[in-house]
Amino acid sequence: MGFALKNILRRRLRTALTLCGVALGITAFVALVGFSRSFEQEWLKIYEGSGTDLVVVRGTFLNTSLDASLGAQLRSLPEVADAVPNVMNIMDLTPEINAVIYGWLDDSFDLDAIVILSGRRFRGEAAEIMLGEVLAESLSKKTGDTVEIQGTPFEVVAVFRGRSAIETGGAVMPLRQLQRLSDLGDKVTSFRVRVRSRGASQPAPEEVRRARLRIEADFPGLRAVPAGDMARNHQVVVLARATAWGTSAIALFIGALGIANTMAMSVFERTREIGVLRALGWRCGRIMRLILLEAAMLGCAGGVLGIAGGWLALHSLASIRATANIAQSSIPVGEALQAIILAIGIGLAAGFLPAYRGARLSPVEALRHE
Amino acid sequence: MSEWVLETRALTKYYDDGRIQALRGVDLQVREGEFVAVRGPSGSGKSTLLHLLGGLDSPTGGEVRFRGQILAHPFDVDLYRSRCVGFVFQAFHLLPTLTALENVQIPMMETRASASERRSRAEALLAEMGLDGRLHQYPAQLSAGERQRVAVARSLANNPEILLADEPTGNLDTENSLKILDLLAAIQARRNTTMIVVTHEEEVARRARRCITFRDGRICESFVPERS
Repeated sequence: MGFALKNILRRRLRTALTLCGVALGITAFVALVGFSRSFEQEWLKIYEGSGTDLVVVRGTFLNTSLDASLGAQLRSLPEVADAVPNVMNIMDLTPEINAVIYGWLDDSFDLDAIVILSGRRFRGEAAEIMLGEVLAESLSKKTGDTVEIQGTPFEVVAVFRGRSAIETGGAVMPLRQLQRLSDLGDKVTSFRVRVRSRGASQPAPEEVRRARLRIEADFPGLRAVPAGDMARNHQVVVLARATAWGTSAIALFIGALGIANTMAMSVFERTREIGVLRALGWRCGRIMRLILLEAAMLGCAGGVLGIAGGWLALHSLASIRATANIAQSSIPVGEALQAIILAIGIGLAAGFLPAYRGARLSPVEALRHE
Repeated sequence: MSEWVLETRALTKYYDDGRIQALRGVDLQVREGEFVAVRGPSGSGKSTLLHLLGGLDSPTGGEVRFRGQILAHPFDVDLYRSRCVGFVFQAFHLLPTLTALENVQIPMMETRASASERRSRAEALLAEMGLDGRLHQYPAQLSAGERQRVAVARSLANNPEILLADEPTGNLDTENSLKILDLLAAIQARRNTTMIVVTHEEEVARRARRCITFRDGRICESFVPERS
């Protein structure tokens, strides 16, 4: 271990630059994956905050649309306490600002879960809109103002604080209005279902499971997804997670190339020393382990720096207004461990070829190396 | 068991697809505790012979035997280099990032010796070389003579039966050369180590029990030197 550390510290500038490469990769991983995790948690809050147990959608991969009339049939099931339609879309409110818009009925239980800071709920199907407080601030709108969407003026009837940052950065309008703006006719995106509980206020998991099976049996082609799964597998969340991992993978690959280059250079410069070690009886395996240990140490140190960098990045995001409500500066222990293991793994993978080449050097050839 | 510690039979070593014939059928036998000086002009095959005897390289033809066993698969050549042979090089070949004490411990890392055993043995060897005040110095902080003494201590780390030295005084001034030669002779006498030294120095030849002269990859002369 000490020998490996001394070898790494021999070329301090090169080691520092290599560490920067790995650290940047891990920083990207920690920050992006952490941000997508926070994003996922915000989606979960939307469902959990309103007491949604199941979300009924069509069993398709991308866009899902259901007849609004399905709501009555769902509510008639003995396992279902309530089922409310929901339309969700992302719309341009100004050339610079777009936001998630929800279309709900005026008696939807979803409305009970948001806190109205000023104004009142929308009524019926009127051209009214409720703005989340972050969106209202971005648009510089308050109760009584008007927001024009696709040529239709909507009166701002309330400013609210939602269950999650996504809602607080979005808006809610009558279901019919959003259906019209989205050309959905009488279709809705999903139904949010509260399962009937026979005992406690919260339905037991078995009751939720039974309701799910009942809905899927009675309505072929539909899926009743538990709220937690829906949050995790929401298209936007999946896309955010995939983007986070994809971007991190590119950054990590660049970091790995840095380690591979450093180790290859290090082995080349130490060719004669490796020859000496072979002459002194060191086996190929020990030489290989030494070089791999150095690569793993570089990876580990880069990982620790990267976690610090990721924490700083998340901390910065948490202090920026636009992302403050979503980003969390804390990094779960599991995620930090994952980052360290990933960094060590990258070090080992990147160091393997140089280590193999170093270990396979002929002692005599290595001793002759200038 | 063979009466020879080391033996070569029709040993050949060619490089560059046979265009360079470094050794051309060398037959050599070395007894236990023998001190052999190998001399000859540059490129005559002396160092190549030493590399083959030490298991650092494999021959093109013929064989090298250690106590009757051929140094080739399935014989464990790594183990042989680690336990049975000690090397001393002209250029010292100490690892620059390690102290004298750490350099001497390097060969012991392939043994089962604990860290404290390795350390105490290395301290004892360096003390034997008169370097007990220089344990924590790096090679760059040592004189050439001190570096070679560290290298000699390192070669003895695993108490080898054979010591192979390739021009051990080639980078030293006369005073330090004599000190190293005295040291090697003393070690050989005290430990009964079989010692093969490649050299240009007359002083080495004078201390050896047998002197071999190489020319064009062959032994052209083998004699017992006169004692002065």
